[in-house]
Amino acid sequence: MRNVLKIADIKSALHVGIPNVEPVLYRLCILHFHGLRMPLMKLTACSIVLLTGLLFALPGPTVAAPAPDYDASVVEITVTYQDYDPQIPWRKKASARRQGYGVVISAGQVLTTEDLVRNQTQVELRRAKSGAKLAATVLEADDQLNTALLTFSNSVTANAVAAANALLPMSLADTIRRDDRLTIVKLEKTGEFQTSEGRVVELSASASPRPLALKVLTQSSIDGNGTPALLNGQLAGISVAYDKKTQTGLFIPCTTLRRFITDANSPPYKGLAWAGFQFEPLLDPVKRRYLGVTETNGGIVVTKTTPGSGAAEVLQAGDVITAWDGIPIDAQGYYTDTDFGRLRLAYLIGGRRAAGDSVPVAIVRDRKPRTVQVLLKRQRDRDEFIPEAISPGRPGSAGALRPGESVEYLVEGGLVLRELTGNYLRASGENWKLQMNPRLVYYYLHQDKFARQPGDHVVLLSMVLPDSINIGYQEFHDQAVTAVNGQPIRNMADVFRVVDSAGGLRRVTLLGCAVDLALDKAALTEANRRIAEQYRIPRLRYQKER
Amino acid sequence: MQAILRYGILLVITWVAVTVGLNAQAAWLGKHGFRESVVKVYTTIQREDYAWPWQPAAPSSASGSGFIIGKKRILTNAHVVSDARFIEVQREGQSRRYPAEVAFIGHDCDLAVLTVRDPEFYAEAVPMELGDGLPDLNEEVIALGYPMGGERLSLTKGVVSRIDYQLYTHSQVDSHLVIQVDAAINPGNSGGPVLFKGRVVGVAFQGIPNAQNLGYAIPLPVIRHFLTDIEDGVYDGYPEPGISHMETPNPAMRRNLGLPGNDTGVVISFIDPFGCAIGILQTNDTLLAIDGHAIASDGTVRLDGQTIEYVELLERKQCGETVAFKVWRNGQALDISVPLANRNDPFAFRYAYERRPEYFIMGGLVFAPLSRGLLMAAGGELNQWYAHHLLYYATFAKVDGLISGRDQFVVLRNRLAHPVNAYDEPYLNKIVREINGLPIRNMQDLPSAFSNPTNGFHVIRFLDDPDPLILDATETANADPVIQRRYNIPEISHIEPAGVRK
Repeated sequence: MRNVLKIADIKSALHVGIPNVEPVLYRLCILHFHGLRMPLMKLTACSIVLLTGLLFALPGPTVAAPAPDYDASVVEITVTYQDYDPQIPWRKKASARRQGYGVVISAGQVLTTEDLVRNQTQVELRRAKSGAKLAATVLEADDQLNTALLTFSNSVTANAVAAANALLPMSLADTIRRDDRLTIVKLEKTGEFQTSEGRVVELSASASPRPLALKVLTQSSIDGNGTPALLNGQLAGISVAYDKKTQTGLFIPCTTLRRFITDANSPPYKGLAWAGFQFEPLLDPVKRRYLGVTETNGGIVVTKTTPGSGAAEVLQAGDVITAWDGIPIDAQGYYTDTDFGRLRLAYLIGGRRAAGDSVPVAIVRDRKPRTVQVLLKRQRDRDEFIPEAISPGRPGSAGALRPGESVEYLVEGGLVLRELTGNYLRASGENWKLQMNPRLVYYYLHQDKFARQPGDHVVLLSMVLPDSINIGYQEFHDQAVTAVNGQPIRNMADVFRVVDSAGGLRRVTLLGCAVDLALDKAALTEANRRIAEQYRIPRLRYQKER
Repeated sequence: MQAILRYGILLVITWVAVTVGLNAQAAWLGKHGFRESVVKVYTTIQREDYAWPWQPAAPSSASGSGFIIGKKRILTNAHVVSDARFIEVQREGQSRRYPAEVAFIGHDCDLAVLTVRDPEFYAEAVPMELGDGLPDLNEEVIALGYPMGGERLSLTKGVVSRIDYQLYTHSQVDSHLVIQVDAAINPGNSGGPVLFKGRVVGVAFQGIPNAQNLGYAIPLPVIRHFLTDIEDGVYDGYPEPGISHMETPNPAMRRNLGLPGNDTGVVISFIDPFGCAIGILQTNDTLLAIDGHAIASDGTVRLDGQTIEYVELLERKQCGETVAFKVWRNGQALDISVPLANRNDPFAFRYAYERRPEYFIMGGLVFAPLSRGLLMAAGGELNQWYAHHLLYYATFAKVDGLISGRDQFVVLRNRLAHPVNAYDEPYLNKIVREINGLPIRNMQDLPSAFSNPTNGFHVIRFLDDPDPLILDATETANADPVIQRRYNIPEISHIEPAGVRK
């Protein structure tokens, strides 16, 4: 017999179908919410078993020893979000909701993960015990760190204010180490908090922008991002992922959280420092001899630099980086962190420094050692040749889009022009690499190869909405556009400029196709009106303010 | 245009259509005498293994169908006898099989002619006659053959349900006319005749997996083209004009091109550097007529009361003939003749048969040219970021001008593990740009490039990656005999002489 029974379990029991129990069970639900007012005598024998379980679920004896009052510091967050259709930019998907947790870290501020609040249209904080709800707004969300800071909305009811006042900020742990024992705080559906233990099994910096992650082996599962893990009652991390198979959760550590909170509270937001280069390990002794880096054991070789980055100004492919910011780098790209031990170079670059800092880098170039200064900047999705465009942040944050903003597009004569994004490619499914035009996939996977000016993007003829004005062109889709109206274009801004100066789209030139797709000037206005009406497109263009 | 922009073409490799034959039913055969002309073809096939190119795959037995045509020849599908090490044929009623040889094979049209030396095989055989023309839709045809490996002749009836252009899966590149028959076709029937009013109008050759009652046959025009081609003793293949076109129904496009009329011509959007039209026709030329027949804006011509695609007229021609176009260029109508040929196109990426895969091993690193065989062997790896670019290079080699002096893309395809190459795994699947300062244009460049080490190193540079792979020249030379023994490799390289590749 289960000792804790939830409403969900009762519902599933209903679906299994125990006929004579059904009406009683329905009352049980009512009973649960409105207190024990129902006469219990009417219950059948079968349902008494269930009721017993339910009674235990009510505040009472089965729940583990009463924990510290997390209700004052941990809130449930319900986010209503609405994503744009990644393939049809004027179309929004139906709104949906997701839930996670947040931690009150100062008066009026709640910390959670960025992916919880992504594309949010409404964020609600809910007090577990009282059920009181507070509306919140996103102060700052960083998709690279996967962190978000929320503030309570001004328009709160008197009740909610009272609820907010009762909130108690949780302090952040100073640091965290391997093998630390953490307390993971879980909110049960009953509104009761439960705790379980977790152990830090790994501290690692991934190659992706997110600088440092704690891998925590947990006793029980974690559901919902933002679940806090505590070290001696202080916040040690918030969860971003959980793997059932290995029973490990991934947490953003307190060191990263502290940086983020400080940064977010002292605008302008600076974000994660980024150098802008790629490297390969330099383990091969033959290659070390070839490059003339035999006298040191460490060092990695630079393979690519990203145009517009700090690295692009001073580093070049073939440079061997032997030390970063005064700390030696081994041949696999790791260093020894004073706090965390062996970590990837990525954390040294992004984790300790802020955008705007300049750091000394020891390199070997042409067999001679030298030191260069690399300016750290913030990597901004919108500056990428092919941005991801999945994660709108606030203005000035790394995301290519503002909250609720679609990518730029233009529908003229049924021809849909937009820029290529990672989100667009991946929208075609798991096998997108084989399903999309191999040229576009190649551009995306090898975008570092394309030496370019900042602001260069790939403009696509993504689809053609069939209409009499575009007969003959209707089979085209996902083609790279090199020119409009005969003028070369590098991005949608160019497209808007050229099209506006000509009073409309006259011709589109596709890569690899010598014949332009021409549109009938005289028929264009009427066609646009018709297409907007037929396909119910609210706006035929979206152009960002610049 | 479509041919080039339909990048999906290469993806067909993952959806290889099965070759199929027809079901059996009636016994009304005997009185027609077809029994004597249809043969079962027994083969022992040994494919190449592009993952382990120095050693072919294990042999396996297969069977197909064929039929006797004049001059003591047997017509069958190319795919029935491709990569065959041993071929036997047997006519219905014969008590033994007769060894046969491939006299001609056309991989682009999936047809082959076999001959049998023993005259006894042909005793009392009645060659089948080719029909006069294509049957119409809804005409009843019968298909004969040996589906599913059966020993006795089988017959299926069906009607012609469609005649259209379609990809021939044997080469995975070529499209020709196809007759679609509404009868289920099964493996083993391949190469069998499709008869209309007692005469051959097609050769059954492929179907679509999961599609019911759909069979495809190679139609008469393609059969005749093949037989005419081999009359001079050599199969040249279809001429390759190498032009991609766009249809011109859009009035704005027509005005933009300054085209006369309102329903004429298709406009050239791309010219293949290996086609025979290059240097003669230009992009943005509009083809108004072919051999005196006006081309409509959708690319069709009216001929003998029928509407057919102009490409079909091109397909009737042989290499060495010419085609006369009326071309609209710069506001003028010009008469332009294009001599037809089939140039060696190393970037067609046809599947190669009867050809040993090329490879070259240095320091346990296996270099191989990008080919359809290699792509198919790579399979799911193409869905990975580290190999996907091979698909791009194969698909857009010519359109995006990726060739730049090469006639092959040489790929570092494999690593036979040995201490000499312990750190070289990250370079796999990259395309070689240069070795020791010498540009690598094809496999033949490899031996000479490796014969000139750079200060005791081999420096291998790749496309799309500035990071070179470095080998110690001396260590490498010492390692290869060891690697060759350890991995049981008979030869350290196989490179075809120039001009053989196709």
